[in-house]
Amino acid sequence: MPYTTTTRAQLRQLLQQRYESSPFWTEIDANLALNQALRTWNLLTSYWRRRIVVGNVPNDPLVPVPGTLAQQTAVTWQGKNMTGVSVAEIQMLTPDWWQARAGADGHPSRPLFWAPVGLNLLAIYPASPVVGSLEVDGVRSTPVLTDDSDFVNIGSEEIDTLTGYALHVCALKAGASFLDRTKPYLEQFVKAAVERNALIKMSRWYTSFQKEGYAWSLVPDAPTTGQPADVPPGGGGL
Amino acid sequence: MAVTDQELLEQLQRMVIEAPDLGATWPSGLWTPTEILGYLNARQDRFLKETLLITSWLATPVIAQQAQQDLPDGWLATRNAFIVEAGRTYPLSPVTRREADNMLPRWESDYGRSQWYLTEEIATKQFSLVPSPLTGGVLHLFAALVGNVLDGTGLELTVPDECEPYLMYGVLADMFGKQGRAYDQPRAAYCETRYDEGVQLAQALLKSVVIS
Repeated sequence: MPYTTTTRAQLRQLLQQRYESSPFWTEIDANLALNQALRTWNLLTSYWRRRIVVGNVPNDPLVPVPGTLAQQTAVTWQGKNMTGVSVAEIQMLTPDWWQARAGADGHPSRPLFWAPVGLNLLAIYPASPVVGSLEVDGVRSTPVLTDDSDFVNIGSEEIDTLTGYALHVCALKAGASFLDRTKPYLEQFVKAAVERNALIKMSRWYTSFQKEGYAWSLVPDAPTTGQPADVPPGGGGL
Repeated sequence: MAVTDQELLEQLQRMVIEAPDLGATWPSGLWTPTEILGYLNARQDRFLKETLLITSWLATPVIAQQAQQDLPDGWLATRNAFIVEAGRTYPLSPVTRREADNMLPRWESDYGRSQWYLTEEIATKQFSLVPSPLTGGVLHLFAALVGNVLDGTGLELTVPDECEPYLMYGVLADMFGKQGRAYDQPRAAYCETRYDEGVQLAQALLKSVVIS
């Protein structure tokens, strides 16, 4: 299906068609749920990508990655590909990698390997004695829709999945039985997202999800506050 | 654009139908602002510790012939460790106390080149080198550190924006789990499940970076 440009106002309208606004949900609630759906979608699918260029400090094997990149997926040094490994693998390869310098005896002439230390930091081997540029491909931070005219480019078939998840997010406010009723939207969202990310599909979390789905069933406890169980403890309505 | 503590606090207020005011007041009386900030900071640090998503590099001097070395303030969890002795770097592997005792029964008193480490099995905030180092050196750690101490004044969260929804679920789990009028077991259990999902996804993502 084609990619479409969908504004926040359009997304919100689609969401609001799926619930009765009163007494629980305002426009702001809908906007927050939609932004949460987009963030979770990006976390699961690595949907929004970008390339940034970062410089190295000579002889330093650590390179900070700015917060605008949520995840690193590939790195090049001066336009030449580097191989992604783990810090443990670099250590096994060259125990003294910390002091290794490109071009020194026994070490490659340029940085060849990179390893993520965290989302905010990556290690390179060998460190370069000169300043160069690393191009880091990765997942960019999720676009946040702050105005009604703000838009996302997203496949039209995924709009329904996103608004379904946003509906489930909204349901938390209304109580346990609402969460139970909207659980299929959450499961549909996860399945659609995982189809786009084979790495999450291989994860232990998804293996467990495939066996049991979301195993919880939130049959409400007997009311303990004198209110019906579905009424949140903050009060009965807006 | 990083999410701030005030934005998250207001989302929490909306979720529990409190009047939204950036988390300043909780008029229902079910929770106090201090309690909520406590939940938020504890969950943020727990998330950082469990996922190791945000990692810092630490270097601390090693005292010779002493197994226990102090960890720096703010340390939460170690991702990788290595020791530099006489200009050479040696990786350290994690072991349990039992493994250390079986491998080298006198690892605390027999000195040598350290090859393994224990954390928190001897004392809190101490890092034990196995065997005890014969000479001094520098201990290098890739470690998770405590996050920004959030006080409701608009400070940025330390966790990535994409993980903020899961942090919210963690705080809600604590709020709904509070014994008293606020107690709501089904929603507390739901929120705890979603928080755990966030931790597992974050762990999977960091691994996936390597595979890709």
